[in-house]
Amino acid sequence: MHSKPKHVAADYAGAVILLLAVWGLASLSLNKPYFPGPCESFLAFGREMGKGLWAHLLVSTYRVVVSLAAALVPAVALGMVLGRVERLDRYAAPFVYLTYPVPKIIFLPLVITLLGLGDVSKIFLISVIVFFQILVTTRDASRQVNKSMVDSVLSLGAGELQIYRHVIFPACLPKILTALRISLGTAIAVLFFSETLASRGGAGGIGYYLMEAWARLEWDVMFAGIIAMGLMGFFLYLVLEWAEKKLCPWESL
Amino acid sequence: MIKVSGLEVTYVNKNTRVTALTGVGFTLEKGHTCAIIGPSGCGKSTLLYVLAGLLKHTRGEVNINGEPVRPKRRETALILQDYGLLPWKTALQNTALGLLIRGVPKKESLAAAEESMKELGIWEARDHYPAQLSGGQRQRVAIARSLTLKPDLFLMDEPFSSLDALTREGLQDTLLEFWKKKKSTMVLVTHNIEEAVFLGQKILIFSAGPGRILHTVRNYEMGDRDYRRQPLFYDRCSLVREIIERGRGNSAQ
Ligand SMILES: Nc1ncnc2c1ncn2[C@@H]1O[C@H](COP(=O)(O)OP(=O)(O)O)[C@@H](O)[C@H]1O
Ligand SMILES: [Mg+2]
Repeated sequence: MHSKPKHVAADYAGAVILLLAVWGLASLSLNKPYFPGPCESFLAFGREMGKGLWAHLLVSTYRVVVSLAAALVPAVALGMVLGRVERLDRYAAPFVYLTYPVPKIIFLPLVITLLGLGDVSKIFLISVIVFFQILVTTRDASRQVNKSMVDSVLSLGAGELQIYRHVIFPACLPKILTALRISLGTAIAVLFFSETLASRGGAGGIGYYLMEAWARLEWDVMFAGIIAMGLMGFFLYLVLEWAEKKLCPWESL
Repeated sequence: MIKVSGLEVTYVNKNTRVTALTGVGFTLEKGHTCAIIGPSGCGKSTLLYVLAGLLKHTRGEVNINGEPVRPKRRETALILQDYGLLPWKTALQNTALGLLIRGVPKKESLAAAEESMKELGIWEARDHYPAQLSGGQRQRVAIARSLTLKPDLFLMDEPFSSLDALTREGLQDTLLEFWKKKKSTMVLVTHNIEEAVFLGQKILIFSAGPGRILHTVRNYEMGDRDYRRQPLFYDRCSLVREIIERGRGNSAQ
């Protein structure tokens, strides 16, 4: 599983080349204007970044990051407590159980009506969706924390807050970060959808940008947007993976 | 140092009541050691948790140093079989944790941790995580952490039971040296007869659950490494074994 970094880099370079080749071949064999190849698309991406795509990219990244952060803090705090305090969990569990499987994206029209077309509605919706994912993961991780580990720290004289700090939080952290990585995909999907529906003018975000390009039949510009969104996801994923390595060194021994 | 009389502990869960200990009484003088042995499920851990102040007893009196037992007594150290160490802290951080939790400044905590790790010969492994340590090293870290607290009462719950025979004897020797040097009171739960006879001045033999004290064996000749090779040691082991087997016979009837 843990091969040397050099090999990993080579593996990834190989995968990138292969994916680009598949894309190129598919584009060549289809030979349609609406499916440009990688060269054309990346050229358009470079050109468009200079012209204003970067502003959309920035605003989309901002929305994803803020939404994740806004969901993370309360979800982790509540999840840790529910996992540890059985009495509270007994009250909360039915609510979580009933609301978790509901696809909250269906509330998009309502949220837009209530909160408008700007950042707030998008951030709110993404946060709510991601909140539940992280809450459930954290709660389950917190439930599974070994009781003797807690006892041993209690016997050192720890108070409740110190139990969370030294035992519960670090025990849950790897799972929280994994949940965050999975939530990232969800967050970007929801963001894209809400930006295509609910953005007008200005820096509408990449979803908006993409739909505009599509409407104008500017296929290479549309693909520039696709690349931008893909790179954003990839970059954020890398950041989370790096954070996991940095924050949980004991996990990869 | 320890005075227990009429102790009863009953676990009450939703629909079940389990009486783990009943009518337990014994005393242990300051600086003396006592080994507790008995079939699994007879309430040995329960007794230790009560002495550590982590579990409230149902009936009876438990006095430590003339005062009723209470949680977070600073001079009590508890060592558990597994899980005593936190996987996300290095050996050094684990050792210093007890003092940190008690509010000792970081620098002093680390200095004290260094001292006791050196005493136990595990300073070399200070930057290793528990997963990188052998079972014996892990228990040495756990003991080092207890030593930083300068305890007058050592409570140990089957601390060496997951170790191989040689490592276990090495740690028993270490423990014996420390007891002779520090003059602290020790209560050792074990399911190993030789260990009980090697380390316990008093050996309390428990019946199957609900645990009662079947018999107390006086073993004040212990205290020397060579005790293991003396005829008296073998006699004591046989005696303890006999009492345990007789107890088993009674409860089977
Ligand atoms: N938290 C608990 N809730 C209910 N019963 C328990 C709990 N902890 C231990 N017991 C029960 O109490 C008895 C004594 O357990 P324990 O003290 O762990 O025994 P030992 O350490 O001697 O193996 C056992 O029957 C066990 O099932
Ligand atoms: Mg036990």
